[in-house]
Amino acid sequence: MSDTVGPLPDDAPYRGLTVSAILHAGIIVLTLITWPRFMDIPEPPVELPVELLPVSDETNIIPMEKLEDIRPPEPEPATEPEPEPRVAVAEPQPEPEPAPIEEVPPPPTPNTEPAPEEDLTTPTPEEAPVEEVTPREKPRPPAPPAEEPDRRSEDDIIAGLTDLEDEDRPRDRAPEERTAPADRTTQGVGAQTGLTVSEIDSFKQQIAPCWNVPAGSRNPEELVVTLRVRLNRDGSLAGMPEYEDIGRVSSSGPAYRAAAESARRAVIQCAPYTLPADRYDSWQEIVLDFDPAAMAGR
Amino acid sequence: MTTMTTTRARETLTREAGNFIRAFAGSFWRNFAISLLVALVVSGITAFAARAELRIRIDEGVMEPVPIAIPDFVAATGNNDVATGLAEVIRGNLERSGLFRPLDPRSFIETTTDINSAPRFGDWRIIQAAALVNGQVTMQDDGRLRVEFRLWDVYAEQQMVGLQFFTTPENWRRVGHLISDAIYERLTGESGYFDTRIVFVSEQGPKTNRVKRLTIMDQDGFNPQFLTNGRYLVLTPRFNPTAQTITFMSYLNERPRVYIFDLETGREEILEGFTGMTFAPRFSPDGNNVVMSMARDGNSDIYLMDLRTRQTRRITSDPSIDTAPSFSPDGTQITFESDRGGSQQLYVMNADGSNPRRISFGEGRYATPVWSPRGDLIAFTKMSGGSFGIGVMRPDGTGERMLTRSFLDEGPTWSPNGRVILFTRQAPNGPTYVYSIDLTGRNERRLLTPGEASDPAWSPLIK
Repeated sequence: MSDTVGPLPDDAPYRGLTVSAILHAGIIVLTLITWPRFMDIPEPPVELPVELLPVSDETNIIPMEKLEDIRPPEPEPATEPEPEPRVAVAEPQPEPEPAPIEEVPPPPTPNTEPAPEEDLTTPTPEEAPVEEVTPREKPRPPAPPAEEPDRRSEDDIIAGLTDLEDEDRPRDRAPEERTAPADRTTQGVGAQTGLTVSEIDSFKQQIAPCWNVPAGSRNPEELVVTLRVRLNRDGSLAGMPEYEDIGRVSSSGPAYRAAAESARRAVIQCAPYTLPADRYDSWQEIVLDFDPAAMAGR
Repeated sequence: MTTMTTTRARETLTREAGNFIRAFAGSFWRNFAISLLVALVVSGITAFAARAELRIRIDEGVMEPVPIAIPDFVAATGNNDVATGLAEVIRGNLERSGLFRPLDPRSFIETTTDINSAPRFGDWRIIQAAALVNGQVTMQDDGRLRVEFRLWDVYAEQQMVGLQFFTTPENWRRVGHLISDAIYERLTGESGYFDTRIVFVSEQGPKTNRVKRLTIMDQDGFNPQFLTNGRYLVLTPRFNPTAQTITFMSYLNERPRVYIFDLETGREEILEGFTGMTFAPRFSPDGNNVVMSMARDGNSDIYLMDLRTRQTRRITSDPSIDTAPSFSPDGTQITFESDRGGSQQLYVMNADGSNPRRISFGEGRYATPVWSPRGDLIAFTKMSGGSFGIGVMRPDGTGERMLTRSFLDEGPTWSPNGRVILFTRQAPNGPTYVYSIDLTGRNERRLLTPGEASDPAWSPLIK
């Protein structure tokens, strides 16, 4: 046995090392394999929007007529000032002495400060009848279930209005045609908006004719207005569109307020909207960013 | 030995296996935990994304005049002429701005009888009015006229503004302008320009014997008055910031000089102290200085006169023609035209004359730069290709845009809100009139003047 006791064969330690190396490598390999596997599990079924776009949808919308930014070539048209009567008006002023400014006691007296809307509901002590009225309440009948009947009547009015609109609005031309192509697309896809690009485009085209872009403003890029719009299944408004940032509307000065109100008017005026009825869930609430910058340069 | 080896090997194996299992277990649990976390986060994001709101960017609209209904005002005390006239003044102002389309009163369904109750909005939506103006005129016991109005957002069914004014009865037109300004301001977000006046040179008689008189009138062409008698030539009238004083160039007594004219007193005064011919005057934004050109020995330079001390200061000293100076609204800079670079071009310099830099680089020649009251643009006359046009560019020279072009368009002047430009247009061998153009290049119109007119200057808002 003594001869057996001695230094281990040279290869003995290496065997252990080999086994160890193999096992370690195995662990590394397993780890590498299991990692991605585990990672794989929760991968959401993201689909590339590209696959989902029917080509035809891109082009079947009658584009808004792009306004030419040059006035009619002939300068004359709208201006036919009759010099004669003007002079006549001038004559009765006997003396050319420029005293007019004296005679002009600035008419804007007492309360010429623009009365904010809120003021109307609270009669102010001042003798201003302008402020005393509470007109805003009046149009709303005091319907007990508050929301419903009120809203419906408004919708009816608005719906009736849109029927009367002139036909040159793109969406009035062929409602079926506009929605048809969109219907063959899949649900809940793309950027998870539930609407295809063409459907969104169609919606934009429906609003565009009603939106009077604040033109010629100094900083149009600062006039982006965000509205939250709730819609009924028939595409009519389920309430007044809300400003996402009401504080900005009230505090950002007259230009922003005018832009905000113009956007809100557009949403109300162009309702009801035609949207894919089977995906009401995805558009019952829409957030709209009205961005005048692209139009402003025209 | 074999046993030993085997045993050791087995031990090794066992230890390694244990390590492996431990390692595996460790890595498994670690992986499991991480994966769980990842799964939670990812599914959370997915769930959030699935419920993400539909957000749409609306970047297309129209640029059309806003349809607005302005019924005749209610005459509470029988002042029907004024009540009708006020509505006409407002309709006319808003229509000429190009931003509004006053609707034909014959299309109105509701007849306003009481402006203190809310309108029937449905009636106004049917005729597609976006806004409605209801007003009332009352003659008070003290002999003053009370005019009140309300501007309604027809779609939102809200009052946007409600104001009242008191005035002497004969002053009712001005109230119409003030109301127009309030409506314009509320709906566009920019200050209005209707309660303003325009001074210009009215031209009468044949070309060979023209009578040119300095004339002032309301912005809508009413109340024109001659300020000079026409026996001498007047050119380039300009308002001071309070619209009380005008500076202009005149050939009175055959001496071409810069004058100032006080509208209140009618007093006319020559700005003395210059050895040469002075021309192209313009007030500084604070109204205390007049900047102008003086020509002597074939050279023109820009000078500043302090109206309080009558001290003059030379601003440019280049051996070329420097003229047509115009201050920036903050008073720190002056734009002017000069041929120092070989051709007639636009320059901007600091108000003390330092750091002059050329800003016009397009084809052709540029003249008569005028800084916009809101500071963002400089309007100018451009001559190229045998025709004249009015254009605008930013003060650094970028963004040049031509608004008009014709045989002869020249001499722009800004509306006080920096939105509209007046200029002189002469037809070939034809009459000379003043035209207006919107900053967007739309809505070109002839200004309502009594007869032919040139060299307009728009007053600031009358305070």
